[in-house]
Amino acid sequence: MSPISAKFFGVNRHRMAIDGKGVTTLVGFLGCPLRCKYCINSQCYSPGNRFPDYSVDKLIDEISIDNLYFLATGGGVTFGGGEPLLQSGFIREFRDKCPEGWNICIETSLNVSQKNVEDVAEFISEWIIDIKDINPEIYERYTGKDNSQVISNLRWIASHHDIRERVTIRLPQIHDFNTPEDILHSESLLRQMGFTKFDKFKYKFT
Amino acid sequence: MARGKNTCRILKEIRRQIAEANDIEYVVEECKYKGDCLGTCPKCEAEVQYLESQLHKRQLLGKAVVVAGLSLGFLTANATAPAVDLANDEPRDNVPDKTQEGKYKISGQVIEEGTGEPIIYGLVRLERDGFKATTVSDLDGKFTIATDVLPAKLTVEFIGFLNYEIIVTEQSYKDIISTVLQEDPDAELMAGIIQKDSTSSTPLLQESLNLPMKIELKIDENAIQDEDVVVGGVCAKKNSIKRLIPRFLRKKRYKK
Repeated sequence: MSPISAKFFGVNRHRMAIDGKGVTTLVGFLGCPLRCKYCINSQCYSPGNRFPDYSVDKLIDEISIDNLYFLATGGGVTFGGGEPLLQSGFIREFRDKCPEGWNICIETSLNVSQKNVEDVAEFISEWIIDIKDINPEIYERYTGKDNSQVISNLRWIASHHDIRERVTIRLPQIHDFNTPEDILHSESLLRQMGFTKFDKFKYKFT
Repeated sequence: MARGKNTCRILKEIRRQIAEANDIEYVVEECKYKGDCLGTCPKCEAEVQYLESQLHKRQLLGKAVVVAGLSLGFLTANATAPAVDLANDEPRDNVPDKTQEGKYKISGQVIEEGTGEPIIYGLVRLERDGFKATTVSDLDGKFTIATDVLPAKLTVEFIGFLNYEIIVTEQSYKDIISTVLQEDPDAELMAGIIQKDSTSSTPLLQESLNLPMKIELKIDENAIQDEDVVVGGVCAKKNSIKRLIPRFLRKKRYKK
């Protein structure tokens, strides 16, 4: 059986309590199911010809230089992209092989199959979920996709108390797409589901 | 550039803490590099690899190695910047909360009809032409929302309940205030609409009108079917967004 490999458009070191606690290295996967109008990582749509293949071992080797910072600060690796959960198998193997003590954090849109979520749910120490907007019309206008799978996955996570408490939900204000009132509406519904941690901010774009 | 220097400073201090905790000789030198800094450089990388090798030697000698969690609090106290935009690494704009700004402060408590249980995180909207404010009720079902202009329509929504609407006017406010103050200051106030009067020398209005408006939400009977579950009024309908309410919130079950 061929070893699992993946392509990344970037590996960003020494992020300080921005995406996950402690010192983290952000690893950006290629590939995403969404086509957000203001995507800031549009290189993730690239077919990947110019990006090298990484095996799990190769990735661990590359980011191990920051091992002491991860351990000392309770940090580790944050998988983003693109949509990292499309590579849930890679992330699972990464967790199996990486040094003990590394936290693994996910930044995701959650617009993936439930199986992708279940593959990693037990060992992800922190979830950062950017739902764009809970309103299906706003979501589809902005991303080009519907959000029924996102809501289904939110429901699954909400029903697992130990996973739910590790979730921060990002509620962005997106120029021309939603308003502060829409954000509060999203927050209200999500609080009713049991989520308690939110990160509200404006998308900034040039 | 300043951010890179700050990152370097933080990482250097983490290295110093690791060395000190493990009796490793490590002399902290001030970085004299003058150009653009990404937070690390060959010298810094060499230092961390030196520490790794020293810690490995300690392990081989059977000595204790202390690293995990050593600098947990330090990073929080010295974070490089407030929350930043992920890709652009620019400080982000937080969404301002303007729901509490305004001449008229309207406060209330949202409860379930019949039981009187507070409705938590109910959506509260205040609207008129050209103006809209939104907030959510807190863990006691209470909320405060403000406006500079009346009349305005106040709407309260919660899944599984009929929407509640009321028009709040300056006159209804004045009637209530005068009724309370002139007829019976101890009477239970049915609508706590407080005007922030900047010319008043006393806080009498706000103190005596400290009883929130009671808003009773009625269960939406049409939303309930045989297999639906109603929780403190929250109705979970199959295959709809209302099905989002997780099992742990379920307290009661209604059947037609």
